[in-house]
This record gives sequence, structure tokens and C-alpha cells, in this order.
Amino acid sequence: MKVYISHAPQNDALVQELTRALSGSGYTVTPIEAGIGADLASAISSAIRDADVLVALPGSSSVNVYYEMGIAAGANVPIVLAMPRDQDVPFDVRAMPFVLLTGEIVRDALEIVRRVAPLAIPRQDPRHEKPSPAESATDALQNRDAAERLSGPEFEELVSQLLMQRGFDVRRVPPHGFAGYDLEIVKKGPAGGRWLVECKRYSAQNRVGAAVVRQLLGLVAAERAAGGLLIASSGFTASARALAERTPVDLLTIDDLIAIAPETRD
Amino acid sequence: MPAIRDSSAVKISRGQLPQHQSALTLLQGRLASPAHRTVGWLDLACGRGQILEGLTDSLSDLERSKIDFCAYDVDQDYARETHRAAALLGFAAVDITVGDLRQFDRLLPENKSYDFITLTNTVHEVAPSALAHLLADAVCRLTERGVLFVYDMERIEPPELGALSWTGPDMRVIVDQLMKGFGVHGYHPGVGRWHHRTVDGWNLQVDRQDVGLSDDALKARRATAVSETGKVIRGLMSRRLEECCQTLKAFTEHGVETAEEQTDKTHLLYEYWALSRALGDAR
Repeated sequence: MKVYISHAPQNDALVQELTRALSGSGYTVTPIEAGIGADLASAISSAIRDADVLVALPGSSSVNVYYEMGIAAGANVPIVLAMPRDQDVPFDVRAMPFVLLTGEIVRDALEIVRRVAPLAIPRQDPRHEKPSPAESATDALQNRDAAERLSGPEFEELVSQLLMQRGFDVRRVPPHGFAGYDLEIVKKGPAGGRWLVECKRYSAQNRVGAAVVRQLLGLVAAERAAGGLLIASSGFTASARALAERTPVDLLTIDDLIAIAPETRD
Repeated sequence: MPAIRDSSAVKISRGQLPQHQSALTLLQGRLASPAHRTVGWLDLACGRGQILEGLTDSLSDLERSKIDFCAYDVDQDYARETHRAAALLGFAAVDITVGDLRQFDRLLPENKSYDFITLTNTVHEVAPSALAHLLADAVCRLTERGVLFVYDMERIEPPELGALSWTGPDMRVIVDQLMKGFGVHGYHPGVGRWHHRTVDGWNLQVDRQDVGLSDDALKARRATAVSETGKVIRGLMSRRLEECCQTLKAFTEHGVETAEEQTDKTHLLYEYWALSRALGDAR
């Protein structure tokens, strides 16, 4: 059973104790995996959607915790809210499972674990399942809710399959290497040659901005590649699109990529 | 090095930054070698001696007793603070030199070379016109089996007026050209990238053994290496200025849509100034 802990920095000590207590009771506390260039907000969203329970420990000014509770609520992930007596509980979360924090860290951690137990049951929601390897890359990526739970390398693998189905020669770059991009393809035609592909698995609400286009441009120059292809699960900002139009970087959303007829190479 | 007034050395008590820990791991390898009775360590732009913080936890008494430590910084107060910290660590020798980073090769004893040279969190402050010189001088100051370790951040937070940070890929282009300028083929010094919570960083490691040239050969080719690398650095800056202007143009026309772009806009304005200033200096 996976537990995601959403917390304010002031609760760091309690989180450490809680992590120990949950692990000791057989739970896995979901880590956030965001490597170089990864979008932290999307990694958090993905981890929450993949969790079986979210424990929320908001501080006095931690709007991010309430935002993360919103993601959990939207994904039907049960929530345990834990707050001290002197902190106001917003009216719209007052009906949630609740732990009143006493300030005694060990006792509080054990109480939270006790509250987590009845909620941590395997969910039957079919949307909770990740796309199976047998599904086609197109189907898997069109299922947005499931696609958001993919890890970065899983997302890149599916994008790689889509590109191959469209006739490109694709080379995967080792996931933990230095390259700074994920795939290489060979394009034919006037702008042909070696193109660097960067895949961004962003949450649907997020937009890929101009900085990411510029980073890819830098890599294209450093690698002396013909161009760069930025493929994102979400949309791009207008500035990112405007910048890309003036440079050898192409932007594609997953929908754009799926819309390209298979075997159309250039 | 032209001063960057926004910049100041940071010192975190009882804390070893990961980049410093990485440097110390390299140093430890040298200290463990029975081939080394003493290890000459030059810490360029030592600041307030952050790299020495927590050193007693990282290196044993015996290891520290083999270190011949030389710190170099432009700020007298920082150098004194580093000297005080180093003097308590049981090193074989401690020496401090105060001077502009561009002058370090001239100010340090002429024939002195070092087994380990560190330059951390500083490259963004180095005038780009002096960067090739600095790297070439550092390589020339390595002993036969010496290692140069450079670390810096890809973006400075908060931004500093005049500071120009480099990315890992850019630094790889620079150091590859430096090697080519020295006439070294087939050796591409390692450039790695680091992911921190709020910013990415890079590190560069040049192993003198793999450079494979004698001191005389290095010195003879230094001017060419510096000149050729300087051209590449100017080319990189021109490209970045072009991209910076294009992005600012896009922001002007379309506005910023996310908080990330808001931050990016601020950084680009700083970058625009730093690049314009650096390219102006180059002209």
C-alpha cells in the first residue's frame, strides 16, 4: 500500500517519524522522482494519483498541501488530514478523516498510521491501473488519467513506440545519462539529419514554457544536431510556441503525434 | 575578475554541500594512495572556506596530515577566514594567496603544481573573456596525475547582475575545445549534471594524466588553446543572446503564462545584461 505524505516544511520532523512508523507497518511512502529537467509539480501529481492514501499535514501558510489534497480528491485517493488544535480547519475539508496533532511526534505518527489503516484498501477504480504493456502506445497515451501515472522512462518508451510506428529510426538515450534529452531520431527531407527528442510528461493543467524550448535549443547547438523535437503530454505556452517557430525546434503534443499517420516519416 | 557586487560567499556551518563532498571524495582517492606522501590542493576562489566545513568528518587525521593546502581568493577577509579554518585541520601546510582570479597563475610560485585543484560555485562570476585563460592555467598547474574539479550552478538564484552561469552542455563544448586547442585528441573530460531541489548544476573533471602532454608542451600550446576556446565561448554567448532576445520578444508579444515563465523572464533580463556586457567587453 502506497502512502503519499503532503506536508508543510514546518512538519519535517513529524514526517520523518511518520515515514518510519508507516514503513514499520508495511506501507510504502511514495517518493517523488524528479530528475534533471523534470517537472516537479507533475511528478508530485503522478505520485499522488498512484498512492492509495494521502496524508495531509498543512502548516499555517501551506497552500501547496491543499492543492495536493485537491489532486487526491480528484483522483479518488482517500485523505487523512492532520493538524494541531490552534490551526483553523477550512470548512470544505472538515468532514475528512482527521487527526488532531498533540505535538508529541511519536504519538502523533502512530495515531496517523492507525487512521490510515482502514483507508488503505486496494482501489477498484479501473482508472487506477497503469496502461498494460499489451495496450498500444496510442491507447495508453490517450488514457490521460492512466498516462499521468506513468514514470518518465515509461512515458518516453511509449513516445518512442509512437515515433517508430510513424517510421522514424529511434534511439533511446540511457535514462540516467548526461545527455539532457531522451531520444534521437533521424529525419529525412530538407531539415533532415539527427534530431534530439525531449519528452515532457506534464500534468494536464501544466504548460511547457519557453525555457524548455531554449534548453533544447542549447542541446541542439552543443550536439550539432539538425533540430529538436519537444513532445509533451500537456500543452505549450504561447511564448514557447512563438519561440519554437523561429528556431529549429518543433513542438508536438501527444495528440499532435497521434494524429500523424503512421509511416509518415518527414 | 570584474567584481560582481551582488555576489557573496556563502558559508553554512556544519554542512557539507554535495558538490564539495564529491570533490572531497576525489581528494580522498589521492590521499589514500601510498604513492602520495603529500597532496598539493589548490582551492581557487576559496570564499569563506565552505569546502573545509565538516572536513574532520570526511577525512581522517592521517589523510588531513598529508594535505598541502593552498587557498586563493580575491577577498582578504574571506582568505583570512579560510586560513583560520584550515589552520585547525592538521594539514601538512597551509598557504593563502590573495588576488584576482585571472592573476592566480602569476601570483602563485612559478614552478609549483598541484595534485588537486578545485573551483566551486564561482564560474558564473568569472568574466567570460577570462574563462578560457582560467581553465587553461588551471590545467597547466596540475601535476602529472593531478585532477581539476570545477562545479557551478546552471542558474543563479537569486540572479546577480553581471553573473553569467553556464549549462553542462555548454561547458562540455568549452572544455572539448580547450583540449582540442591544446592538441589533445580522443580525451573528452567528464562533465556531469546535478539535480538540486531548486536548480541544476554541473561539474567538470579534467585528469592531467589523460591530457597526456608534458608541461612544456602544454605551455607551448596554451596561447592557442586560450584563443581558440575564447572564440568558442564568444560563439556560445552570441547564440545565447540571440535566444534570450527571441524569448523576451515572445514574452513581450504573448505575455508570460505561468509562474515558471515569470521567473524565466526575470532571469532572462539579467542574462541579457550579462551577455551584452560580456560581448561588449569581448569587442
